[in-house]
Amino acid sequence: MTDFKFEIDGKKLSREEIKRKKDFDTFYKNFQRTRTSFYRKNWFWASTGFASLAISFMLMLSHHESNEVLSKNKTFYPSHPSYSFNINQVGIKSFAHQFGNAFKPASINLDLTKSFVCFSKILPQSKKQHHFINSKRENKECNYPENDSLRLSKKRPLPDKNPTTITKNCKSEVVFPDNFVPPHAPEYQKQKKRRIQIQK
Amino acid sequence: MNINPTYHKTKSQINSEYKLVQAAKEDRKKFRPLYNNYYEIVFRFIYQRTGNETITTDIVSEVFYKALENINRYEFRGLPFSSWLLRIAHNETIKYYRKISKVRVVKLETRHLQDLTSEEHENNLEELKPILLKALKELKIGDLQLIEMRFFEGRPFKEMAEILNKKESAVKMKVYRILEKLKFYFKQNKND
Repeated sequence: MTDFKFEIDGKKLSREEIKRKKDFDTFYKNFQRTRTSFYRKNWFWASTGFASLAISFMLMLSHHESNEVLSKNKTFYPSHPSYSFNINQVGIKSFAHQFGNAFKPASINLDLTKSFVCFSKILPQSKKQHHFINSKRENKECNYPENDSLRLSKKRPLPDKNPTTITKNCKSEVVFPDNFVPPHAPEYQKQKKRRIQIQK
Repeated sequence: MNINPTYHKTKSQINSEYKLVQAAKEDRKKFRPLYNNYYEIVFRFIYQRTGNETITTDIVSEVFYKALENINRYEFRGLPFSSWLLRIAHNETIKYYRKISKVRVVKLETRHLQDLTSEEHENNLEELKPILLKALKELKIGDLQLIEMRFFEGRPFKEMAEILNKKESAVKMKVYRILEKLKFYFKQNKND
């Protein structure tokens, strides 16, 4: 419902009153003056609209590009996988085995093969070449950059392409490079308990 | 109900008016006779809807400005030139109310209310006036516009259709439906 204001038998304007307001010359002068104003022209609005559209499109494009760079910086996908190798290891599988009538836990040694991809990449943060080992077996990205990564020195040759075989009944072993720095773990310090002495 | 004779024009009048329009199309300065002829009609049309002289003068000058600017787009449909001007005036008034979101003014006279009520109610019009106004307030803006044009201004259906840019039959049908609605509301409130 719209709001209405009813004016019943309100003020009536006479012909003379309206006639006094009529002035074609002033109207025509104003018309000619405003008609020549640039903001009344169609080309002005068309060009303004086109320019604003172009600017907004460019802004959108630059924003999209910066987002793309950010997303690239976050993840380190192997752009050029340089080398891949497999490592066989022995895994232990536990299961319930039937001994007579009863089931008892038992285990068996299994040969497992882990695949790795070695690649090098220049990170945009440090602008230095870093080497990464990426596990394929997990089927997901697991990169270890900087101190926590498995580092391979640049000078040393990469591991043999042939898969390393590890004999059965011996624990699995990944051959780390000489300059491998294990992640630093702070020593555990037991906190001394404070004893509250109650004075007698 | 009496139809206002000021809105009626003979065929010869309409044709001579068309010649003026053609002249104004070629030379804008020749718009003067059209401006002088229709200033009052346009002014009254807008004043009926605003109830304010200053606002009306502003809207009227805007209406004539648009008319003169777009006169080349005018198509002759066998109707007076005022219909085209009033269509612009109607749109400008709507634009004005949309811009300032003010309460819409409806100017009317007591005799207009008489036209709306049936003959049997004419004697006790003073009693029925508040019910009638309440019923009119219940209407949508588009519906009230039609009632305003038909009963308060006495316009023919053909001109109403031209102003509102609708078909004449559609306007007729709409007016009768609104009247039915008003009658129903009127009866209900009278019994209460």
